[in-house]
Amino acid sequence: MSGMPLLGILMGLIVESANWIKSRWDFSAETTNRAWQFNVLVIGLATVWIFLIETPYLALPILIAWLPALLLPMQLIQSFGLIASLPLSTFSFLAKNRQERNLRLGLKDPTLQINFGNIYFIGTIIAASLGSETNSLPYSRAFLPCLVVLAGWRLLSSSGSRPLSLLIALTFSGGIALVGQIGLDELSNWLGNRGSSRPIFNPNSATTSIGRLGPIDLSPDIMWRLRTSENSRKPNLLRTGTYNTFYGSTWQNARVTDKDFRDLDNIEPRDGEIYFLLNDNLTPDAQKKAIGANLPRYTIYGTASAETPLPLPGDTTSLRDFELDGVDCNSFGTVRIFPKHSIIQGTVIWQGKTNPESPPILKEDLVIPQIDSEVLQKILKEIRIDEQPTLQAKLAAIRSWFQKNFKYSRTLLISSFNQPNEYRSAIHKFLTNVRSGHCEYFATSTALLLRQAGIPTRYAIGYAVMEFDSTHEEYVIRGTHSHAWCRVWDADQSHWIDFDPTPGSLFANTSMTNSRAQRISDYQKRLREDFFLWRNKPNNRMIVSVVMSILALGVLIFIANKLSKSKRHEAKARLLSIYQEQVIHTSLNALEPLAEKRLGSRPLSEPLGSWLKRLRPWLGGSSALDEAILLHQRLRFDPSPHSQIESKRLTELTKVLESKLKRN
Amino acid sequence: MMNYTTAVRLENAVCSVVRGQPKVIRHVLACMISGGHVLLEDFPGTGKTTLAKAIARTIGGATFKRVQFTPDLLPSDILGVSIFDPRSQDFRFHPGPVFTDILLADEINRASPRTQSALLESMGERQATIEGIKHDLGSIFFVIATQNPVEFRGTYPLPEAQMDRFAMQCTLGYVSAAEEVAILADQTDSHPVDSLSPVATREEIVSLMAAARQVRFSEELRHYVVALVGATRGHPAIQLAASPRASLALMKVSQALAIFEEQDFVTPEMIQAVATDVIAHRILLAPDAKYSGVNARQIVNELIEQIPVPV
Repeated sequence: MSGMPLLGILMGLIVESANWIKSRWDFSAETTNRAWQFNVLVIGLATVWIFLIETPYLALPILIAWLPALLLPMQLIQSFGLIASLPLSTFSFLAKNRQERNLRLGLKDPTLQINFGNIYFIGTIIAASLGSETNSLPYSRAFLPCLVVLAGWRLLSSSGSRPLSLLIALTFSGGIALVGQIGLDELSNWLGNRGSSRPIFNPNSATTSIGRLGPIDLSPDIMWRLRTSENSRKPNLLRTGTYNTFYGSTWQNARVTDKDFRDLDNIEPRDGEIYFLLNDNLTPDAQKKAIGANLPRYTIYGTASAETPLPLPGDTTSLRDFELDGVDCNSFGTVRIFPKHSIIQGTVIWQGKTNPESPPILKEDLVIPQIDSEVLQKILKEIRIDEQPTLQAKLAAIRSWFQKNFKYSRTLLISSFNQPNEYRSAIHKFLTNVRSGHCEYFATSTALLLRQAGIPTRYAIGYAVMEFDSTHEEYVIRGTHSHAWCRVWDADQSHWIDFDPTPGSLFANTSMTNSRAQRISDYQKRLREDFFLWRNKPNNRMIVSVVMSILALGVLIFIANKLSKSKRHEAKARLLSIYQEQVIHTSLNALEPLAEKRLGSRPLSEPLGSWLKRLRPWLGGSSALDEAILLHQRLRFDPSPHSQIESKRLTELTKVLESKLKRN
Repeated sequence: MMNYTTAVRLENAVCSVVRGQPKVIRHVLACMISGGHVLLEDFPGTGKTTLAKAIARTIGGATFKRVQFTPDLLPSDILGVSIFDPRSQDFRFHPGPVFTDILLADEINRASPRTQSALLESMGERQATIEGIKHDLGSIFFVIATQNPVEFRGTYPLPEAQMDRFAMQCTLGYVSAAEEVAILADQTDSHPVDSLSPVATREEIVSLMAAARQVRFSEELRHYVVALVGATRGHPAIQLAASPRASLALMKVSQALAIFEEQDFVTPEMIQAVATDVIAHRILLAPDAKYSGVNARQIVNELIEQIPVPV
């Protein structure tokens, strides 16, 4: 359910052990109330905790999956307490008020009695069906049938008769449950996809929205936060991936293999200061430069999981202070991290002369799709790119051409389907007709144009740093700040440079005002991250664990103390008697379980005799019952000494009655 | 045993006259056997007087007196008075109606509290102190008081102390249509009470009373009785709870009931049967409970349901 089978089994054992252990506790109404309040407190804290560490879409299923563990205190009260059911007033304040009022007015108290075990059982089943393990295929296929079979078995053994109708009913309910489960799966997938704030990153392929219609929908949630150190300027573009092959509407990495990734070297110039170097073949001197104190740097905060690409400026030299299990980098400079905690923090040092990327591979970095080559040549002619002397001039020409003739828009108008013949591709239509689009169009077109002009170019995706939060003095990177641009090979300097051809209106078009809901979500995210970062520091972690264990110990001692005071032994307790001395049970008491099957459990206030007399329809007017009841009463309530004959006679009569009951 | 037959004869005789009330009759007779007094709270015409008369008639040699309580009734009208006899030049004591075996105090709540209280000593201690002289009352002395539950104008509700003196408060209530038809048939010629002949002697009743005290009562049931009575204390709807006298009465009445059930020991069923009659009239409801429409009997019934019975 919560991915911890051992914990589940342990909890199950604890709850079930109530059937083997005879110790019972006498919980007063006040104690159960307190226990429920404690339970609510635990659930509340757990809710806060889960919502802190998870995105809201995923938090609810996780919370439900943990419900059996969270409701355990209440269930323990139910299974180890003397009372068979808890009044509704334990759980509901309104019901409690009503009960108090009724008591004061002397009215009959209609408060519902609830056996918490049933609620707990339902909660466990829901949790089991919602748990993370259910998504793995063999398990989810087996879960529902198993559940139905178990339910059927239980029902069959209790109802006994009419197996056919039971089978039909089970088939129906099983079918409905199956349909419901499929629907739920779809819903949770949908929610999960919406919820995963960062699209799944693939270092080898990036699908663009080229040729798609409609507005681009990006999450406005905060992805990363940057704090630049004093005197450092901010980076403009933070790259998460680079690709070099355009195919259809997808940019891919020609060397589609994970082997392209290599682990980053690290050096430790001083104790406790570990630097990861982006470039692996540096001389010791160059290494020193790469971590140089005069280089600009920023600290980045954010949520990450294994293989999350770290957004870095193109000319990053080294990383420090990250708590990582590993970090690797491919030959295009895409850096993936394997963080120790889900929330990371670290410093990035950049603007060095070293580049993590390998030099261009002309075979790949100059390729353009055949169908677009004609229009690209035409445009290059129009810009007169050949007449520009330097790379910088060429880039400036392209930039100004885009600036002059194109408009930035997040509403896509070009469809890759049903193109009239005059446009060969979406890029073609973008360049000649529509002339408005988002960064992916600009970056792709530019990459192709530059390649056509003989300059090796790659396509880079990542984030544009454009929002500064002055209250927290940090840059905020949201999903809406996702961006795409080009990496252009500067042959003279022999390294790659960033070139962002998208017209500047990009910044104007992004609304900087955030809705109130977004502000709350930002606040929650920031709070959560800061708290975890604070907690993850070794010293703080110790403080937290010490404080938590002292608190937990205190609560445990308090509960244990209270428990030891109200402990009772079941043998005495089951009688639920007002009389504390040992009483003699006659053999007629042995009939009780059998009678319970026919009559339901005996009301607390009904004497055994009159209760058993209701069994007459099954016993067929037997005088043995009357005699047995009389004998029972004599043995039980007559303080004068009784003879062995009487108790023997009662045992005989009980046996007769028992066999009669079993037969009918 | 002899006791049982006496009790059963007594019960059958009364039942033949007062139709359709076997349970109440048994309770009232048990109350008498236990040495307690009973308060019948019922509407006029439901047979309270007939019941009292029938009981008196079935006991051979038992005297029966009836006092109609009115606002101007004085204590001396009940207890008796000394009157100067000019012939003997002396005060002669004229015993009041209290000197009897069975006393029917009809509409007891119509008399002033002073008069009502005149009965207190007699009921509690079976004696009357008149002008400083103690007079013992008969060994049976059984008071059947009645009051009308609806009419309150010109009445003086019984003081709590007086209420506590009654072992039980019973209600006859209306009988079924068939029983009422039988009543009409019975009374076409004469009232059946007039033709009732004694089935037991005074001495037999006295020995029954002694036998009731011998009925065995287990320690566990004593705890049960105390738990039942004790439950009234601290109940939020109850202003004045039942006293230990209630526990005592509950024990005695259930012992007497055992005789009618032909048992020589008490079972929890017997205690439950009389518990409401014994406890309910002794408790005083809190004002907000009273005005919410519940009565003491309902609350006591609820308490009986809540307390685990020994099985």
